[in-house]
Amino acid sequence: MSELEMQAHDMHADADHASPNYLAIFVALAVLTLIEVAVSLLPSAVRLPLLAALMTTKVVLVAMFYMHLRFDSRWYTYIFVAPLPFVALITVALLVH
Amino acid sequence: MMSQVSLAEPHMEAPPSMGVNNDKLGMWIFLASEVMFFSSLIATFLAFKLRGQFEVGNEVLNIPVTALNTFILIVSSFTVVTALEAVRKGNQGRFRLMLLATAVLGVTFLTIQGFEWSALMREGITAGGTLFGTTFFVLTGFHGLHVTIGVLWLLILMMLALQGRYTAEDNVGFEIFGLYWHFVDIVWIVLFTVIYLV
Repeated sequence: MSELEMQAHDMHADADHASPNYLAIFVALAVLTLIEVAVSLLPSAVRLPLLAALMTTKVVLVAMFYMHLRFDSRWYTYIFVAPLPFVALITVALLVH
Repeated sequence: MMSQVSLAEPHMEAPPSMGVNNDKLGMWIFLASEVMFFSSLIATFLAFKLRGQFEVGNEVLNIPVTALNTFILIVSSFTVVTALEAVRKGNQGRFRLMLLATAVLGVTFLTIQGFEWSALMREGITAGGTLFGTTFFVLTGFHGLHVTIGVLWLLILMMLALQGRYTAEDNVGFEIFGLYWHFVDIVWIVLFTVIYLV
């Protein structure tokens, strides 16, 4: 895709107001929260990876559908995920310190 | 005169653009900086916790009440996105009702958090007393500050909405608030897991 085509796609995406099923996303978030509370009672070897997966799923759902990254210009997504290498670096640095 | 002639040129090129709304772009850049800010605090808390350096464990925290507070914030994200959908469809009544609901939910969240803080302080856990207290109150305090700013911002938006400022064609100002509010929800989703459940 050329740069001009990409810009045209992004402008279209910015103007296009898609309406996903917000109620279904809300129900999913509520159910995942209940599952998280139940998982917190499990032993830590099982609990930690499951909690990380559930938390990540909830964050992605909110960002993609409530913040409309799924439908909006991809530039917004690039900007939002740009700090993730920093997040990984500081987390690893503090945990191994 | 020359500029008027040149503007009428059929082959005039548009200025360089990323094809995005500048106001929304500004908010996303701000949110990216917030990701770095909160991730530093969260990583610090996590490092202390996983190394067993806290004096107290999760037993001092009220998980059922905080789960309820998490649910309240998730509902508020739903009301914000429903408000945006309503204003885009020209339904001003539903838009204003959802704004009011979001403000009530935000204040409820802060009130419950205030009660939780009071209970912890009665247990001797304070911001300056223990390592757990310091990191806990800094993290939840900064998040609470963001919720407070969001509620104040929302009150201003409600006044503007009553004056008919937002319409089906012009609502980007409210959409930008929505991005902020959903981000605050995302931060709490992470904090709820890291502080209360891990």
